[in-house]
Amino acid sequence: MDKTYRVLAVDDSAFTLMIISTYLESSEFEVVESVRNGSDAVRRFKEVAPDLVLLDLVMPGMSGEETLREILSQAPHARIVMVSSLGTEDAIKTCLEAGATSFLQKPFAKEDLVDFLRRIVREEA
Amino acid sequence: MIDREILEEALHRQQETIIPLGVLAIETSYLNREQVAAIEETQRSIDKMLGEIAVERRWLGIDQLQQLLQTQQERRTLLGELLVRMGHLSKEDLDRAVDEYKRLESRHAKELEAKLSLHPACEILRCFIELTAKHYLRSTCESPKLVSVAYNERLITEGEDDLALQFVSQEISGDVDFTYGLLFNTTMLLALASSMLHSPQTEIDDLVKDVAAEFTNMVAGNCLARLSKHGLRLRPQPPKVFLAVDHPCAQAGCTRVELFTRRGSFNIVFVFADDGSGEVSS
Repeated sequence: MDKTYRVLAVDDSAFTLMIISTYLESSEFEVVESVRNGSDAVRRFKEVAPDLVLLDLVMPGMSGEETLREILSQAPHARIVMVSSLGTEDAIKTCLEAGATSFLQKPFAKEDLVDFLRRIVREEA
Repeated sequence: MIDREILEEALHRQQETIIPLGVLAIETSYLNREQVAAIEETQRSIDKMLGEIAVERRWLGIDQLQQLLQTQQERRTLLGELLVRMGHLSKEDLDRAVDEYKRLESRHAKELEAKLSLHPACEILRCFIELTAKHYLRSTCESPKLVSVAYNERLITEGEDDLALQFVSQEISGDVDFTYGLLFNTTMLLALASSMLHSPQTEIDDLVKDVAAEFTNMVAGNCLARLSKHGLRLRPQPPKVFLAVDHPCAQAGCTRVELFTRRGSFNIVFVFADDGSGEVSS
């Protein structure tokens, strides 16, 4: 499978990062970098210039929302998908208003993740 | 007299009467033969249960899996029936014992529900208990059974090996402030992590703790999403894993809800900021 889209995955949970990488393994999405906090995400975003960011919402230190705003202040067209179990209306609305591309609620199956990302890149194509 | 040898023999025979989940899934038309065959093919290369793979592939919903597992339990031959067939128990004694068991079970379920209803935040408790059980089922293909609800408890009760207890906790704040957590002994924590990682775990390392934290985080996040639909505004902090004895709430009054599984028990623990559990008489 050609790896067409480069993904930066951000989550304080090593387990979730492992799951995301495994789920995307045989798809056109490739996790080129995994980081476990917001400040590393902001730094690595500049260096890696990924096509998509998968960003956890609830993290120690810099929250997902703060990370989202920081990345978008530097790259307003960045495609950032929030990934969280906290699918409250407030959380979803805040992230989308702040400029997130979409919101994926955990837990998800492999097919959910791949289909979700495919829809995003198709819509934005 | 039923001795250990007889009981082991009966348990062995009972295992043989369990209908495979794939057969039940075809019988109920939840899955077709091709899907079951495809899952069995996958199982040759990975250590996952049929229900787990079917849920992952979105061929089965969690509720359907729960229903299939319950049917599987209900349709296996009861241990008592096997003991009657083996000549170690009379039919009359079995009937009496089964009636008594059903009566006690039903009374126990009603007592637990009544006890839960006493809590000022019973809707929050019910939501966390239900979703903890659902996520456990999703992760291990086993539905845990609610066995007890206790108020004004300590995190570590007398007789427990406090150095073997891990407490995975998450602070929740907003309309109600409380701590939600899961209390595992070493065996239970390793069993959960082994299921979620699909590989046997033998020691509590950072990855095992991380798996437990993520499990807790998923339950809490999904609960808060559900409760927000009923108007409750709650925010979670990231989960943390403690040796239970070191947790700041180790000496506080808490609500403990025990869930029983084939591999042992674990507890859901709630500590309310204004200690709601303190208002409830045990």
